[in-house]
Order: sequence, then C-alpha cells, then structure tokens
Amino acid sequence: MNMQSVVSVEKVVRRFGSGTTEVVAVKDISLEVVPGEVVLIMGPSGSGKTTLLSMLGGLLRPSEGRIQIGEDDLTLMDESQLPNIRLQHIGFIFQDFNLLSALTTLDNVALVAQLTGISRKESRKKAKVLLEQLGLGQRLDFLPHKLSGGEKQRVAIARALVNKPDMILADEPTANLDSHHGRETMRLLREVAKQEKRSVVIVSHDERIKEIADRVLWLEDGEFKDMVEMAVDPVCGMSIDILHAPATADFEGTKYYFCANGCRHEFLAAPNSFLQVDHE
Amino acid sequence: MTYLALRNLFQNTFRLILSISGVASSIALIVLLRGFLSGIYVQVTAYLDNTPVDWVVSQEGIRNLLGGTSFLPPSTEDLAQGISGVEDIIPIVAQYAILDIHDEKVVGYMVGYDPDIGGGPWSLLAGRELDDDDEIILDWVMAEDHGLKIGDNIEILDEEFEIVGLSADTSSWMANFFFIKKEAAEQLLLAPEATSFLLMTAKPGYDKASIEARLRRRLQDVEILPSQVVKQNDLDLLVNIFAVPLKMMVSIAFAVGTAILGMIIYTATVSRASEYGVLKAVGGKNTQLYSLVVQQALLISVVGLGLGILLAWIAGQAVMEVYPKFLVVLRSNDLLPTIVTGIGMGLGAALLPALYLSRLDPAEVFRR
Ligand SMILES: Nc1ncnc2c1ncn2[C@@H]1O[C@H](COP(=O)(O)OP(=O)(O)O)[C@@H](O)[C@H]1O
Ligand SMILES: [Mg+2]
Repeated sequence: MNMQSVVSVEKVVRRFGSGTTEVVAVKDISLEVVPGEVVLIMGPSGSGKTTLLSMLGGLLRPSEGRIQIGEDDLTLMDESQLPNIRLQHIGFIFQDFNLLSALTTLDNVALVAQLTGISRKESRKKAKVLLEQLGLGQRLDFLPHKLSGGEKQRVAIARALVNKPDMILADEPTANLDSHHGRETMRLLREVAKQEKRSVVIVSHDERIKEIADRVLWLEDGEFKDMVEMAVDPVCGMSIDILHAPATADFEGTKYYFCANGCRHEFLAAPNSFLQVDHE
Repeated sequence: MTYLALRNLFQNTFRLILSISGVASSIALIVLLRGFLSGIYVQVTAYLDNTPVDWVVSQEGIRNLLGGTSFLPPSTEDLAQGISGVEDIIPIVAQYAILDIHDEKVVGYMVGYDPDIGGGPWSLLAGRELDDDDEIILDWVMAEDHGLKIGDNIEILDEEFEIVGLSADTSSWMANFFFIKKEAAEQLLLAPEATSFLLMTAKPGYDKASIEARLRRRLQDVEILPSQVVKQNDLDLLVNIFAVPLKMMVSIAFAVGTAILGMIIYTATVSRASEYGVLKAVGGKNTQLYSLVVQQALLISVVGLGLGILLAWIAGQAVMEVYPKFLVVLRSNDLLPTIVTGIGMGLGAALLPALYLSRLDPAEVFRR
C-alpha cells in the first residue's frame, strides 16, 4: 500500500449468491485514495457502485482481496471491531439523508459524536461548531421534517464529519436534491473535506458533480473502465455516453444528447424551458 | 442516549399511551389480585391476630381453629390453672353454626366467650359488649347484608337473640363471625360446661419454650399449639383454594402485559429499522442499540407501574365500598415484588426487539 493512502483496495471481488444465481457485483478492483482527495465513482445502475462503497465502509466483506484503511486491514478484522472503525475513521452520507426523525438537527449530529463515549454536552458543542460552519446555525433546533432537502444533506455532512473521519463515503448524495442544491452541497462537502485533508469517495451517476471531483472513475459491470465522455440529457437528466447517444440535436451552436427520440422532440419543442434550469 | 429513547417515545404519543395503558392495566390487575389474596390472609387469621394468644389448646387431633369442631376434656381448664409463666387463659366455645335470619339459613362462625375474661370482638362498630345470655354481637357486614340493625332479634337453633352490637373486621368469604356469651353457646350445643379451645398467653419475661414444656407435662391428650401454627394451618386449609388460581391469574396478567408491551415496542422498533440501521452503519454498537430499546421499555414500564398501582388502589377502594365482604389489602411489603414485576415486564418486552436489532444488517442502509 502506498504509504500515504487513506484507503487501499487490492484486487477486491464481491459475489452474491452461488451456483447459477451467482452475481459478481465487483470484479477484481484495485484503488488507492490519498488524503484530501475527492474521488467520484460513476457508472450505470447495477454496476456495483454501492457494493464497492459498502466494502470501503466496512459494512460488507469482500469475497476476495484486501481493503486497508490507514493501518487497519478491514478484511482481517473481527465483526465486533468494525463498528469502531466505522465510527472513528469513516463518515457516511446517504441518498435519503437518513436523519433520525425524532432528533433535532443539533442532536442528530451530536448523537454520533456521543457514540464515541464523550459526554452529551461536549458532543453538542462539537456539533454546534460544525453546523454553524455549514451554515445551519439558524436550524439547530429544527426537526428533520422542517428542513429542506439541501439542509438535510448538510446536516448529514455535519454528522459524517463530526468524529473527524479519515474518509467520507457518499452514496448518490445528490439524488434527492435539485441540481442547484446538489452541486452547492457537494461543493460545500469538498470545501470542508479539503480544509482538513479528509478524503471523499462519492458514488453517483450525477454528471453535474464531476466538477468537484479530483478524479472520476467509471465503473461498469463491476470493473473500472476507461472514462467515456458523458453528457446529460437536458430533458430527463440521464447520463448519456456521447459516442453512443440514441439522439442528438444542435441548438444555438451547442450539441445536446438525448436518451431517446422522445426527449429530443420534447426538447426541440421548447428548448429554453429545459436550459434555464441550469442557468441560475 | 436516554434523550433519543425519550424522543422516540414521545414522537408517537398514541403508541406511548397505548403501551403505558397496557402495562398499567396488567399491573393494576396483578396488584388487585395480590391485594385480594392478602385480604383473604388477613381475614382468615383475624381472630387469632386480634386476640391475645400465644398457644391454642384444642381437642387431640384438631389442629385448626376454623377447620372443625373441638371439644376439650372437661378437666382441662382446671388442670391448666396455676402453671408458672401462664398469664391468661381464655376459654371459648367456637364452631360454625346456622343462623335463621328472615327464614333464611345463614352460616356463621360462632364464638362463645366470657366478656369478663376475653376472646370476644376486638372492634365494635356500633352498640356495646354483651350483658346477657340472649344477646348477640354480629359482624356488621352480615348485618347489613340481611338488613339487620341493633335491637333486632334473630334465631339460632330455635333460641332468640337480640342484636346489641356490630363488630368490625370479622367478615370473610367463608363465614362471618358472631359472638354470644359462652354459657349461651354451651346451651345451644346442649353441652354444659363445654369448652372448644383454651387461648393462653405467656407472662412477659418468661421463656416460652419452658412454659410450653410445662403445659405439655400438665395437659395430656390435647393439642398445645403455638398460635402461629394454628394460623398457618387455617391458611393452608382455607387459602390454598384461592391461592392457586389467583397466582395463576397473576402469571397470566404478567404474561399478557409483557406481550402487549413487547409487541408495541417490537413494532416501534421495526418501524424505525432504517434509523437503527443508520446508527449501526455509522458505528453504533449492538449494546448501544440494546440500551436504547431497553430504556424505552423500562420508561414505559415504570410509568405504567406507578399508574397501575394507583389504579389498583382506586379499584380496591371501590370494590370494598360496594362489596364490604371483600377485603383488598395493598401491603407495602408487596411493593418491591410489584416493582420487580413491572421492571421484569420492561426487560422481557425488550428481548425480542433487541434480538431484531442484533440481526439488523447495517449494509442495508445503502439499499432500499
Ligand atoms: N445483497 C445483495 N444480494 C444479491 N445481489 C446483490 C446484493 N447487493 C447487490 N447485488 C447485486 O450486485 C449488483 C451491483 O449492485 P449495486 O452495487 O447496488 O449497484 P449500483 O449501486 O451501482 O446500482 C447488482 O446486480 C445487484 O443486483
Ligand atoms: Mg447504488
């Protein structure tokens, strides 16, 4: 393992089921992430992104290969040691935010700090500092259902950061946010992570967060493939491989790619209504 | 983490109220059943508890007060006189007898005693002590049940008696007490000079074991039993009929209460599965999650416990108001076992949810 890597994945394979129903979700993957690096893993649905991320987070064991976080080899660890690794070294961000519905913003973050054994008072203090830094100082006593999606995801980011993890893992963090908030939230994540040299691995098929990544990897059928150039269908938001786009159109000198002719027709009927969304 | 347990509970107030009511009603039922049983205990030993007596002397082979009939050999009372260390000797004629009240036959426990010596009612609700052979003191519940009051006449074995007093704490589920003079009782039983029991007390400062030894030497062919033993024999004879089904009902109430609480906590846990999954994923340990459900269960069971005891007390008062024959005794001695029962309910109810949490796969948080 590279001495300065936060995480090192060596020839990892993950199978589900056995015999004729066996699925190889991740095939022989290797990956190194260095401190402060933001890695985006993209790929179509079912390509193994979540499976890979779960293994990085110590939530799922590889069928073969090694995963090291810092000095610790996850694959050699006992089941009972993994919670502590997750608590101390990894921050998680989920697609559905997954805040605890009965707790306020402040307590949602403080609770995770408290899991490490520090007092409630101290954990609330830590949480407050972090939430204020993330612009949620006015929302400390709000319950999750009173927060907007972007705010919820910022609370989730605070929760992921509160124990000062080496690495933050995010699975489709923008899927439930509109494009503006999705990008803003990811920019914020990048900023706070970079400040303290925390690595970030984001799994997504959202093209629009490519810009915040230091490195983009393309996962397909459980393997890293060469990055294909992708574009977003302005109508439905799907990622389109531009070499194999089913439909294209030119509008005011720009080329647009579509998942199907239906989207293309819709676009051509009123192009500006689809383009404004991204022009805030 | 207690605040999370609390917030989780208060987030669904309907479920919270439902679970507290479940615990409260089964605790109330348990306390009430136990109180009823304690009441029977108190009633069965009431006479010996309230009459000064260290030993009961009875006919050979008769080891109960309330069990059967006892007739002592005529010489017993004289022989018992003058034994060193014996303070009082109270002779009584006592057995079940049938009263004719308004053409209705009613069974009562008759105590014939000498008002100058003792062995009569210990608490008069109304009226006065006996003066004459044709006077009777009746348990007040029996009097009320049959619409009798002081000054009324009733018949016992064709003899007329006038009610001059009403005694308290002398009723029980099997028969209520009534008191007449000892000579009157002898006449009724056509057994002049007869005595059923001698109730003896020790002088203060004397060694009871040696008094008992002297008694045994002096009095042959009779039973000499410490009053504790007689009370226990009466309890064994009369209470076990109730104790077994009552204890069974207590166990059922406990099981039902635990099951209700368990089911509610289980559904609450399952409905929060994704939240507990998140806690696990971010590094919460199983023990931390167990403590969450255990705390929730205990909080409910402790509140339900307090409420249930209160409810039982109110219900007990109401029952005694309406049916004075039933004595519901809530003893402070029963408090600890009741608290243990309530906490046991909470812990029992947390078992299944804890098992569920231990099996919850944290990797599921990434899948929906
Ligand atoms: N627990 C599981 N059991 C069986 N198959 C699974 C399981 N998890 C994932 N898979 C399979 O592995 C493949 C990759 O899934 P996943 O990692 O969720 O992909 P992605 O996140 O890229 O959409 C899919 O074919 C999926 O059906
Ligand atoms: Mg996925």
